[in-house]
Amino acid sequence: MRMIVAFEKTERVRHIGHLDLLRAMQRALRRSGLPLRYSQGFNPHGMLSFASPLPVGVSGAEELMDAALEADVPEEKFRERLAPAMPYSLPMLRCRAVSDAHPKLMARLQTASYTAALPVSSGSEAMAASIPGLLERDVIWAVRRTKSGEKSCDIRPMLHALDAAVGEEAVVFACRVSLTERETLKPTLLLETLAGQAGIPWEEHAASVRLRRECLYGEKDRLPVALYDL
Amino acid sequence: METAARVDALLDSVQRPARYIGGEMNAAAKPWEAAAVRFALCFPDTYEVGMSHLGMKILYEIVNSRPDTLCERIFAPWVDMADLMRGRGVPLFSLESRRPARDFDVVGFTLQYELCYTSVLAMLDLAGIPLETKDRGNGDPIVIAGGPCAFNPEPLHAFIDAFCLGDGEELIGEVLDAVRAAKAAGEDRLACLSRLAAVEGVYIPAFYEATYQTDGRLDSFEPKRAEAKAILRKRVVANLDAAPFPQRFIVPFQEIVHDRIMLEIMRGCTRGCRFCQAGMLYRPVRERGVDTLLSLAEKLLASTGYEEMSLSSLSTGDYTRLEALVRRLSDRFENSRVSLSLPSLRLDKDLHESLALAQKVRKGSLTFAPEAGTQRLRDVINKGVSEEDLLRTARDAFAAGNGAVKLYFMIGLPTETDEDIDGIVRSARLVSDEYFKIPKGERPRGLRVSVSVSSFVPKPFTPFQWAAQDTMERLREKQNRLRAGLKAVKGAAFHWHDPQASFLEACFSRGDRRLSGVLLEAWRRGCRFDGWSEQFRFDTWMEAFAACGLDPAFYANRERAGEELLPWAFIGAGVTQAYLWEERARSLAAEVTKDCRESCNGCGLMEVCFPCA
Repeated sequence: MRMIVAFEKTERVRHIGHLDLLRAMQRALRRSGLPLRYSQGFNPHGMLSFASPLPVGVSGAEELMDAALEADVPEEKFRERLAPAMPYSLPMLRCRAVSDAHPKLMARLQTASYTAALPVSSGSEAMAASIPGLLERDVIWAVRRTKSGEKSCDIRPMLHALDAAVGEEAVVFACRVSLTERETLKPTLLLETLAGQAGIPWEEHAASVRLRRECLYGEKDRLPVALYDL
Repeated sequence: METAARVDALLDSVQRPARYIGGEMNAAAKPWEAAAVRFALCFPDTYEVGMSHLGMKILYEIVNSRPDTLCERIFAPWVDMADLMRGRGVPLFSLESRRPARDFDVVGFTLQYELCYTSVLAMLDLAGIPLETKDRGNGDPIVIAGGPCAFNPEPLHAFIDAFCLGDGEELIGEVLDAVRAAKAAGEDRLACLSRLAAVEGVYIPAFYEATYQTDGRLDSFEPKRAEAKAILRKRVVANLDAAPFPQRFIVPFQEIVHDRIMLEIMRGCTRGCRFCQAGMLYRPVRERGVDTLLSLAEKLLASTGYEEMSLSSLSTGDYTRLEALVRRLSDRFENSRVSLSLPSLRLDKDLHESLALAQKVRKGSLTFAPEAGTQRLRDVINKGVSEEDLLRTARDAFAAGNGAVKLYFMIGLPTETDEDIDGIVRSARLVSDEYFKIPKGERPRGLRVSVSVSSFVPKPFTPFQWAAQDTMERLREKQNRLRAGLKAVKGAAFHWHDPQASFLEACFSRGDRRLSGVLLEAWRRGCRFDGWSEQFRFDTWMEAFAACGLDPAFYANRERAGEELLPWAFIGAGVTQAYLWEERARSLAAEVTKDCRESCNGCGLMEVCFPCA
């Protein structure tokens, strides 16, 4: 069987890279004593996979990993063993047992929601005010920077929701964007585009944005459903 | 909590932010307010270097297991982070609670190598702690230091309030007790230092005075206060098997240099290699029992989830029950996907069986340290291994399917000639030949004979403490000769050390109090992380020496006479100066001294501080 595990990547450890996180989880599973399945071969490694790697610098409220087990373990027992084996900066939230035939998390991932906090300023407030204008547009051209150069593309089909809350200290933008192998909209590109819409130089804000991935979604009946539950 | 938020705000703009985040598995989180004494354990190098050091783990565990104390870690911020912190006024902070270093009662440094000294100054400065002990007041932390470099503490005498000599397991507790008592009694700084001076093994440099002759040699070294002892004896943990050892290690997120469980099976070495400071400082030899080690291994694997374990000591092959230990560890963890490594193996024992067992778990490269290229020079340095030992072990390694061999040598050893240099090339060639003697198809693929050649640095408390280091020019000539010779050896790769760094290391390893001024000057001129070649600024160091009116060659390249008062002579390291001088004479006659486990050589340890087992 396999276990889908939800955990938080807290803000404190947002700079851990994906490979380091994978190794941390491998070790947490070893500490737990749970019967993780191992690959065959010269350098066997525990069969763990993640729904989607989180970029360095981004925290995650509910990240998902998938652990293949050699023997069946009840969810409650799994949680009891793994939770204390996780570092306090990566707390385990919940787990769900699925069969080996259950589709891979990555295969069903469609969108992700993010929050992005920016310090309150005339710039960030102007960005918040520009949201309705941006959403009204049928086509939103954005410039993607890739290894092969700059590329213009329409991000409108990948933008599913966007709003903002202006607080005392921060303007918090909340968005849901596409996150699939085929098309992915990075929240930073969305913010940059929004800044463009507001006529604000994004470079001045880019360093102070604090990103958090809130939830990963699949789709059921054309509606977003939390990937964990799918 | 203000510092924590300010630290966090910097992390998006630095390289390797994981160095500064803390939050690792098994990191302590003791409540600040409940602790009577707060200890900041500092390593004057980066996170990945400092986290690899076993002594840090041992002290961290001991201090945190006391109910009245709290211990948090601090590493040297890399240059980008340090600059950013200075620019934004963020003070040096601890990893656990991200509190300023200067909020701790005691700030303790471990001194593992001389080239970290500027990092000590950089850390004190970032912490906002006055650099020099004379400028510190009652509100400042007590700055202590220990580790092998504390055996010649003088170059750092101006900056460290108290040095701790020898094994720290018991000593650290007594130091914390003294600080706690002074704090509870509301005593001033001087009274606290006086209490510390009463602790066996603690040296308070401010309580002593040194004078110099006109030619620069030390003239006198005297205590100037009643509580300052004339001779400072190192501390020794009598029973290592009963001594505390952590049952969990902090498991870093980022990869560190030694990212594995280090199981200290033994402390001390009595082989008596004459260049080796550790071999003299960590005497006597003490072993942990096989049962203790099995139990520790089990707990550590369960608490860390590490997939690799190394058996750590100065000379693993000398552990009396090595085969039993390796067999039991392999049996016990055979199904747990744990690989076992055995560093610091010597060549002169038939370790075939142990190696074969270790190999069963995972293949790694094998390292051998003949240290010198000819039998004559190996006799001079008392490295009791023969050419046949080297070749037999190489054969065993190749037969066990291992094509990668690392050989460690030194150049610049006393009495060395070109013949000895050529001997290094010859040794590498013989190892390479052994490989090609095995028929193709039967031998492991990919021969790699890595020849690492460091430059000899004479160290205090060794028979070579009086010796002159080769000049940098001479060392370069020897390196060129090696490079040319090794080109012709199939599969050989030559690795060497920068002679400038070895030169500076030699100045500080045998330096006196006047080097505090040079250190301060070099640090002010921008020297930092001198052990990192890309940061090392040799010319600036030379300018600092010149500014202080001191000649570095006086320290590095000068042969000392037997009657010269050495700056570290007041420290009782167990092994006596008389014995070291005797060993020096035997060395020059190329006479070998046997391991004292066979019969006592009278090194002095017995009389001075401790009955050998």
